[in-house]
Amino acid sequence: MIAIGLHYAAYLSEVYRAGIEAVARGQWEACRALNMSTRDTYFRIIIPQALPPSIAGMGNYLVGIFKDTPMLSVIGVAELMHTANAIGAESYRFLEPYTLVGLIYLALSLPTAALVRMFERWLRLKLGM
Amino acid sequence: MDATSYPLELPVIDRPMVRFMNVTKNYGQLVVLDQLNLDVTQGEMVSIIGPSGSGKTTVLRMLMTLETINEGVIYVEGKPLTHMEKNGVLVPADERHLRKMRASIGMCFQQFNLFPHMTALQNCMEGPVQVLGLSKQESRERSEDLLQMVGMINKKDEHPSRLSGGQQQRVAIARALAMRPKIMLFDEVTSALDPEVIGEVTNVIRKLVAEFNLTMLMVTHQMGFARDISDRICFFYKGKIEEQNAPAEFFGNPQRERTKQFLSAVKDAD
Repeated sequence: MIAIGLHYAAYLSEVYRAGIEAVARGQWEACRALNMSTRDTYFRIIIPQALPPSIAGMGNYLVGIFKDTPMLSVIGVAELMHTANAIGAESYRFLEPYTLVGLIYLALSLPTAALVRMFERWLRLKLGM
Repeated sequence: MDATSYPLELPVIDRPMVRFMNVTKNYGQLVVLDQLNLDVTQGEMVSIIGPSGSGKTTVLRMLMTLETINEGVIYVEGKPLTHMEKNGVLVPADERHLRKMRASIGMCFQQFNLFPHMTALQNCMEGPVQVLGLSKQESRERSEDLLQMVGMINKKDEHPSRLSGGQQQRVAIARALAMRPKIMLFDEVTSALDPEVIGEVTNVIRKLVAEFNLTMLMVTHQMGFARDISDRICFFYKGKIEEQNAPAEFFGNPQRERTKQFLSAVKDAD
């Protein structure tokens, strides 16, 4: 869990950075002209604008995290793929458990992706962008 | 001249609203402003005109502290803006000093720079609430008054994306004035607008500047507007003030060759 968390934190920081950099320079200048503090500039102006464009990127990684859970079997966590492997090894039938695993991943990923898209649309609407 | 040899404060008898003292700005080899000396007195309206790349926008950006300066000192109400006192000499200002000094200056931009995730009213209320610490109620009243003056009260709950350029710029003007600045800077505020809405913005500026007794510096390409509204026109050329004069004199009887060329080029374009 921590391993995957750290792994994706590194990637997600890039998503946030790209989102923040995408906010127009004029927004920073307007904050200065209004004499806002750095803290208010970030939390009230920049981050709310950086968020919607970042959601898609974050969603990608969220789905990615599902699919990367098999990596955990390397360090001995009995996740889905690992279990399918074990069943295959026992029964000499790999096709069925693997197909099932594939379907389960698909069944989890597709709605997640759809949810992320809905969330993004909702956020843009809410922020009036 | 080293920053340490500038006065810590200007004497009371010689204290313009703004004083640029030997201000130089360069990007590497490129000198944008060269030893600029410019005084603006309280309540004065100064228009800055000139060809692109002459450093006119930089003057405003330095005064808003969006740009640092390489040499010289800018004073606002007699106190150094770009520098602060430390052990009896002037050193470059830190963020705390800048925040204190910036409070008296407001600015409007060519691209409006409204906050897109806030309504017109929220845009105006943001500064007074977060920076000046006004109550929501007070800030709302102040903002609504200003939106009324700029003729945008009926659009106060719209987001900027639903407003035209002229409307956005009027909201931006109200937003800047909600901070009650003493000095207003207008940086080509009509340049991004369609010709038919320029008038609505210039009329608002005319009205408000008179109403609030502001000191104003304006960079503009609207010669007619500059002529009407200003007390003085400064013509910039290659980082220096080539010529400055009262509008009637400046437009009626320009002295320098560069000024004449520029004015006739602008007239041809009209």
